[in-house]
Amino acid sequence: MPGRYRSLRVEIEGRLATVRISRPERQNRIDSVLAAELAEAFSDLGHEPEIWVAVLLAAGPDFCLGEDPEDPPPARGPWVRPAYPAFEFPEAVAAYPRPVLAGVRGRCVGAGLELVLCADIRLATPDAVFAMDQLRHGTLPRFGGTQRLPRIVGRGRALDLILTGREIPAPEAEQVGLITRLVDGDIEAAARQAAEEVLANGPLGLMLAKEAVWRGLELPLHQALRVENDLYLLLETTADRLEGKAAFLERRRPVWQGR
Amino acid sequence: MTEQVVLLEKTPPLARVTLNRPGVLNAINIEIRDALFDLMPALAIDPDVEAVIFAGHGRAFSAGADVREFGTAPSVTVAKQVRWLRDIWGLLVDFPKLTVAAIHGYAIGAGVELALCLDLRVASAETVFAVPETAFGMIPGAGGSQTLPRALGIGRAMDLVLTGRRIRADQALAWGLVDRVVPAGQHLQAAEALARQVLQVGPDLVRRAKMAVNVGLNLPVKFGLLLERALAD
Repeated sequence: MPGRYRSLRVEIEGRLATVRISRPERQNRIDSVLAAELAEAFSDLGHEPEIWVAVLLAAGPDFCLGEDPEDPPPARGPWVRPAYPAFEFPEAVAAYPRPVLAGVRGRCVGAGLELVLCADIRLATPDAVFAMDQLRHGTLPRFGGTQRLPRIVGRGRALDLILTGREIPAPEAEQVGLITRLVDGDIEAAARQAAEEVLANGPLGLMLAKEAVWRGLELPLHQALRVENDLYLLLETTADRLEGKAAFLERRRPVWQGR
Repeated sequence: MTEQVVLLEKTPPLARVTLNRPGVLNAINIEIRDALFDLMPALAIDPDVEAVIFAGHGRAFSAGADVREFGTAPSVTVAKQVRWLRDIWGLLVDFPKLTVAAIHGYAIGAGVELALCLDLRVASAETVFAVPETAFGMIPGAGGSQTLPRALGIGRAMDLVLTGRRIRADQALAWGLVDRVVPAGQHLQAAEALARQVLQVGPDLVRRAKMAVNVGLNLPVKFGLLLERALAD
């Protein structure tokens, strides 16, 4: 899997996959190739049972300046049903069942921000700047931004960002909940450290917690509570659940098997 | 007679429900669940009570579910059945009168989740919050995976649930996990004062307002607006 992409670098280290966008000469703008590679990389990772968490990073001073106007990802109207929606950017990132952390430095704009919204945990350096600026270019966010942003920061703030296209600096992004961690220094080290924090937890619990949050959010609360409960009890049938309880009672760190 | 695991004190129009297993930081066990399951319907129709304050006795609000009882159900399907026959979290979410959490010390796992089933949350400044279930190979099981994203937004909820990290009261306030932070030790007074202040407009209005918000959020906006109008008339 690593090493066969033009605009991505994928590294596997133990349980951790690092996906690094690597088109710094174009400020990591998303062109048709990068879009396809992101989709392929994340859907491939979904078939790797030994990898339990993914970190999304970008090479160079900026995270991503949006779509590349010279070769944008293909357009698709609502009437065009892609043959394999799961292999599309950015749905493949959102559909990856395990936790995804995104570490942002520099500018993260337009489609770049939409990509980052597909991650579960967002970290940024104080100099990072975010903007949902598609309307300024006469288009709409088309990679999930109009749907994911309000679910992350609330509708009022999402409309502010989408309708004005204004830039928000990282500290404000932290205040509104767009990111949850403001980190001084090396963003890659900070993202890896946060990933290690996540990896201390049970891999099946992580998957089902992510599923519970996203599936439940689309339901009335009472039905959502039932989803949580069903997934909670599904975990009771796993070896890791027994290990989690045993480790707690024996006051030691659990050794997860992922089954 | 053994000590009651849930204490009830009434000073109309308030009732105070205190978790009372201080030796285990008020870990929520089956006995507490059953006590609350009996108590809440009675408080719902008690004419002396218009608001219920939840608190913890001892050093914590609640440090979560009682780990010693995990996996003691005869089977997963029985556990599933019982959790719905005795759905205390759904009962709290639907409780018709004002509910306020008075939080101090630790609110961990099911402790935070209990508070999130209530209308308002007041925390003492030293409180530590966490949702650490995944560290034990679990997911939240007292509604947290659903109440957290609704209260905090999906990003903050995911961070807490996937890392299990601890946050302090000031951050809990900034993130919307609690509504008020008060100086250490004043959480009970502050929660009761807040409840009395809210009730000043009249308990019937409070009931209708919380119903409009809590039920309406689970409806398409069009029907939420109809509900609001029906409740306002």
